[in-house]
Amino acid sequence: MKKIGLLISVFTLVLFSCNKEEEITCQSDFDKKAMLANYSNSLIIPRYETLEKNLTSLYTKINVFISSNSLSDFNALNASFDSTYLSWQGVSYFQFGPAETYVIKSVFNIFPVDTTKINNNISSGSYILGSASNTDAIGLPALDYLLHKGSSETLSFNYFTGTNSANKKQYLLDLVNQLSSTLSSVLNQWNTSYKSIFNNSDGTSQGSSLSNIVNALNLDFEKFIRDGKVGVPLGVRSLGTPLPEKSEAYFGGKSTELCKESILKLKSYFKGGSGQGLDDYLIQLDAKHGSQLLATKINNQFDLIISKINALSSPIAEEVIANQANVQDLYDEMQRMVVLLKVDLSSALSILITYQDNDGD
Amino acid sequence: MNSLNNILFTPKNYHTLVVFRVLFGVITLFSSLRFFAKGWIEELYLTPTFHFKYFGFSWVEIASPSITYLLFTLMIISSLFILFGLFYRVATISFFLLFTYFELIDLTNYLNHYYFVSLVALLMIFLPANINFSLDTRFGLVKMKQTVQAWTINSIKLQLAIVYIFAGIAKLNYEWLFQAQPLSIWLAPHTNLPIIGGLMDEKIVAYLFSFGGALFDLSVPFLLWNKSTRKMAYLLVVVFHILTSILFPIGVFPYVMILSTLIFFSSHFHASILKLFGHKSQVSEPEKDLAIKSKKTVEIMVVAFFIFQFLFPFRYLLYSGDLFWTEQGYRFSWRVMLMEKAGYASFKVFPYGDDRSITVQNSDFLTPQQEKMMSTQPDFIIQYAHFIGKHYQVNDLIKPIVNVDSYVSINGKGSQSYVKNDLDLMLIKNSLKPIDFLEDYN
Repeated sequence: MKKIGLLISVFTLVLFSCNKEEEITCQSDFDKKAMLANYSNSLIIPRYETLEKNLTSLYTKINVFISSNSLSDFNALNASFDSTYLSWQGVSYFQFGPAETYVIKSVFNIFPVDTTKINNNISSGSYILGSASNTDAIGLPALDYLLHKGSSETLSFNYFTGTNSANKKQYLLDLVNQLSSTLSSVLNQWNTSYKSIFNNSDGTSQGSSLSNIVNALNLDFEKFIRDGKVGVPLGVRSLGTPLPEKSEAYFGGKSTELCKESILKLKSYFKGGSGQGLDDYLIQLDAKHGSQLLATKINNQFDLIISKINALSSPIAEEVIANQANVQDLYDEMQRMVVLLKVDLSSALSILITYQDNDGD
Repeated sequence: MNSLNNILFTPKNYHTLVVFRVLFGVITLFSSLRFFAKGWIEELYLTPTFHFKYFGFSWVEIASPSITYLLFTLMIISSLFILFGLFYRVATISFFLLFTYFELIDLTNYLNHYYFVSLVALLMIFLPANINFSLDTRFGLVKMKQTVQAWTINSIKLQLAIVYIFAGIAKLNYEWLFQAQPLSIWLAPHTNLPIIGGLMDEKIVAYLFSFGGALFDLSVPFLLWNKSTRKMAYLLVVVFHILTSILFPIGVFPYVMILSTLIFFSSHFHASILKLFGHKSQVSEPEKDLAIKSKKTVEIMVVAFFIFQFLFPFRYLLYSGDLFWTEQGYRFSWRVMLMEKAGYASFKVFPYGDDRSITVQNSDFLTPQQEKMMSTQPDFIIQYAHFIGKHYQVNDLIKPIVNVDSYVSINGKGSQSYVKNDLDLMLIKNSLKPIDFLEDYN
């Protein structure tokens, strides 16, 4: 009994021995708050700002095109649209906090769009873009559709000179306006109140910043990147029948570039850009996958995915018909990544992959 | 046999048992109201389109939403009646049945402490916890008495002791003791805690918690039972459970244990609690109840109940596979917070039996919590496979094939392939036989 008592008191002593005076020795080697601050200051907010800048420029380009009605301005507008779509890729996995409040992902990038609905909206000229019925008639995919109506830039340009051209141009402006105002609400909330909430919420429970980052990343990677960009067009939900028209940026044919950008940006997000990121934290925690460091394993898997994207010679919509095996390879590597993110990463960080509160024991 | 006779039939003052009744009422009432308020009736019972069944209880079905709410309300009322000791027998029976019913609806929601509440509720039906300080006695529905037989209190104590001891035995495994897992993983992220936070990612702390936890579980029932160590033991109970409630998302469980273990204290202590509620009483040498009825029945029932309790957690020994990997015999064995297990399972269904397949999006059928539980437990995987097989079945003639690509990581060792690849899960049935459809665990 004495021994037990002794052990228990040693146990309790050690537990509570780290008091104020000894604070220095009690510092952890890894500053989680610094990592979170790096995420908000160097990655999340700057990426939103880039997107905002691109949207502003896109809006200007549309106005320039409207007043000049020239092919060269239409081409400049298209180039501006492409960079906007690319910059969206880097923010799509920030779906928590303000992004969730303003459902930014649904506003920006729900595809495929309902082209009939878009055409009806344009011909009637009366629509509320924010209404529930228009969720598949808005965002970057709607712009992708309108800016690529023809098989060449000239033919696409001609679309805006035909009937209803004023309505068509107005629709472009309204679409971009909706994107800008949603984004500015999100960015504004980040810059005013949410940043400090995010930076200071350094626990691991549901709703903590780390759990938000990891859960949003998992959800986005599995559902929107693996399935939305690759799996669905490949036919994983349709008995193996490819569905090219369901790919991202189907009309402009930029799906492969967008997919690559999304992975590149995700990799840099995982690494915390040039600062402290999830990979550093995993190293600090000594998280392993077999004998390899988990951080290394995940980074290598990102590279493998990128090499599989590089192996695609055309847009995903065309590849799923012409080189289905290549897209399948890409899908398989993404699937391996889902396992690493959802099982290994979450487990190592002790994050509950759950979007609901519950008891445990 | 004489000592068994003493343990069972020595007369005791009523105070301890009556206070336990009140506390049990308070705990279950609070826990049910909290469940209700958090919207879990909707989330855990009504939202899911598919429920995972307990083996042998696949006939338990979820009722319509209005009936479900009605039943839950009845359960809350039953707690309230237990608390006040009104229509006690009916209330305990109804609470036991309803609570157990709600647990049996979906295996996803299995928790050891729910099993504990079910077992105690079952015991409570047979315990005369309403013979004093109750509305039943005030209204003359039940004759007021001063003494109870010892088994009524001892069986609760033993039930509590079983929880701790088996939780302790379960911790005596290599990974827990010699790798400090899963605590190394679970504690490390808590560096944000005040004062002790900075220590939480130290390996030595994980070892201390691991050994401390095992030692605590194995010793605390004895320390509580022993009068000279009781106060210190209870202090440990409070510290231990509050610590776990800070560190882990374990809901009301710590408070269930903190309140329940008060039963180890003396009649004097419980009399003083009752005094706080204006119930004045004398703690005297309990009178010998000369005419104990049905002594033999009580003996057989109590002994049988606890023999079962002592044997059931050991049923895993009947299976050869790794317990953490197969989980055969894992549940109902007080394996509390014992491993970090995460998984991912992606199903492919071949509705036509040929090579055309659909990759199933689990979120179409399962809540996140269900998906999480499903991906790490073999019997869940089989149940779900059968469900989606039937869902995508084209007609009665063509048997769909279901494959799964699944990975599990235990205690942060990294994901490993789980269910053997390319098995048609439609051909596998859940049973109590050892399972052979998993890959070997490395």
